[in-house]
Amino acid sequence: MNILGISCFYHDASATLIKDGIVIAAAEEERFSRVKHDMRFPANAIKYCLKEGGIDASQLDYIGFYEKPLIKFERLISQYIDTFPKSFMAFERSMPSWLSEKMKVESAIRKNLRYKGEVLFIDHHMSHAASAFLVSPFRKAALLTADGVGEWSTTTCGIGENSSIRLLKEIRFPHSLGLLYSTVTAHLGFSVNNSEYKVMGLSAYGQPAYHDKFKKIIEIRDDGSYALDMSYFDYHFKLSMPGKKFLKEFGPTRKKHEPVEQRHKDIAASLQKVTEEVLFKMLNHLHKETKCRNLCMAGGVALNSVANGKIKRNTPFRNIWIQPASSDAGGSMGVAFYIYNAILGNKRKYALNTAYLGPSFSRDYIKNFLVFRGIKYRELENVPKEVAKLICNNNVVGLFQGRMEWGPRALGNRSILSNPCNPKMKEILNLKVKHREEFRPFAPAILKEHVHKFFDIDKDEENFMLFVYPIKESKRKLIPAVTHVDGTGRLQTISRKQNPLYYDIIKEFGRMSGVPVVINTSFNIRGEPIVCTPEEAYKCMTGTGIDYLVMENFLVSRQENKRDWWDSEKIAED
Amino acid sequence: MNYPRSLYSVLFKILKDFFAGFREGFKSIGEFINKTVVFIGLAIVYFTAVGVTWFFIRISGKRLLQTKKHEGTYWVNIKDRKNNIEEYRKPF
Repeated sequence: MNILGISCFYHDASATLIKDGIVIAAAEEERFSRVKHDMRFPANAIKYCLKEGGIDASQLDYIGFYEKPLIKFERLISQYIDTFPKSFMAFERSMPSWLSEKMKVESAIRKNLRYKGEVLFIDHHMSHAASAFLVSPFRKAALLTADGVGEWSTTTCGIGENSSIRLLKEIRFPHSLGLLYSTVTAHLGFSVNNSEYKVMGLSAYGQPAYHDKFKKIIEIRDDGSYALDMSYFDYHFKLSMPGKKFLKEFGPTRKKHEPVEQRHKDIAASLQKVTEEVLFKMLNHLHKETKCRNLCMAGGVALNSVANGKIKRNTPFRNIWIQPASSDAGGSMGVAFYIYNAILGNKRKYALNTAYLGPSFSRDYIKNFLVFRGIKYRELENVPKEVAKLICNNNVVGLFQGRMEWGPRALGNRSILSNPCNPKMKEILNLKVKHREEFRPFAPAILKEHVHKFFDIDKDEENFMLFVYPIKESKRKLIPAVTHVDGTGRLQTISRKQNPLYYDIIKEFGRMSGVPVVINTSFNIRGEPIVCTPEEAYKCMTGTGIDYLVMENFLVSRQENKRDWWDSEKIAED
Repeated sequence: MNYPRSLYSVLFKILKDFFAGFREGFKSIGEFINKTVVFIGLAIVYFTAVGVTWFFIRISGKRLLQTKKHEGTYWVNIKDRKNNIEEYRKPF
């Protein structure tokens, strides 16, 4: 039985194909269209999924869409009516796209895919819940989903058992933890639905001096339920998010190119503190209601890796599983599994333990590309050893291999690797490639068997880079380039079974340097999606300061291909 | 012999550029008219349908968005949906 899940028309459009309850392929549309957070119908991602499955649309048994569009439309209209006449501009802006495509999801699917079979619609937060629970390793778990907004829900909690999911309670729009985080993101001069993680990174530099002010705008009950004071916000009737009262309380909005001041850092720290307070109260309440020790989470808020790393310390939950593509992209996976397991009643037989679900390119394809383009390269005999040596010599190396990652993190197949022991490596990476804000940390990837030596971590592995943990004090000086200002790191553990080449490179690097850790950052030009094809990987290398590109066993040096150099900063945008 | 041919080609190019510009100009005007018509149409819908609904809802004392603070929990219980495939065929 083939089921295709689709999410689109808000942000992070994606497609997932499952066959008899097992994921065949999953990918975000942005990787193909090269438009970051692309929200359009994921025609390219679907095409790839069907190709990977060796089928065409007529062989699909079901197509699932990740939300109920008409309920969402009802919520929008309710907003506009309730805030009349202030909502005119938002109404005028949003209606054309609703009338032309968003309300006609089913016909868009049928027309684009020439599909005549069943199309099913699952609630937004149910799709999130399913994306976390139905592919988790747990038979029974408590569920929490939290994001900006779906149809009406912004936060839900529930319970999953075997193939069924029951959502018990919800917080409804306009009260939203996700939208509070996005409002502050906008206020701090970063892009909404894109840069929330920057606010999270910034929070480590500040003191929660604005905590009391946040407590004025969010009322938190002991059971974790909350309500926002909407007089501080404009997002329910305007395209901008913070209201006048918010600006009076927290100061003017930072413009994009203005420097980040201590005030901004303190606001970020206060927001993070409030977010954690709400999250832990909700989770403690959820535990009381469900008596489960297992927890599954999804939704944009579940990408708050700083809060995730503190869950075990602050709640009774002992085992936590979070969908790696927790934003709306994960909805396509959720809806596909919900149809297979919950609606059709099939037993669960799949646990998602890898993020390598995207396109791959054969050795021959890569060689043909290099030869055809006249690119100078050499074949490596011992890839791990030679790559580790390059990293040891403080080179920045792009690693391109196997299937592309599902979700926002590069996990070793479309990654840029460098030396974490060099205290200047953060500056070097920023200067050569990333051009990031100074306050943003780089992430460590560590061999699984060494994780307890370097991190104060409450589990043995972290495959998807979704949790931040403190680095042991004695090790912080050893890996300064990945130690954040508060002594933490958002780590990824690697086992050989999970990714042999990546593991061997880190192991070799460990042998040479005494530190089995590398810096792992996503392989992309600033503001662009992570690379998908060998062509994009090469273009990224020649447009940035990446010194070497490793594609399978081919090594391409930037210095030896000067004729293809270009300046990616001319097109880069955050 | 070459002179008239190049004259024709110059004239042809001028006319081609003129009509290309003409087409572009008309396209922009068309887009402008389209946007204006959509804007006026939506304004009429907004100030009649949305406005009138707002008026009746206000005089009935109801609010569509729950923004007022109250005692007790802010959790809202979710009614169980029937796990019937028919429920999922509807986009609402």
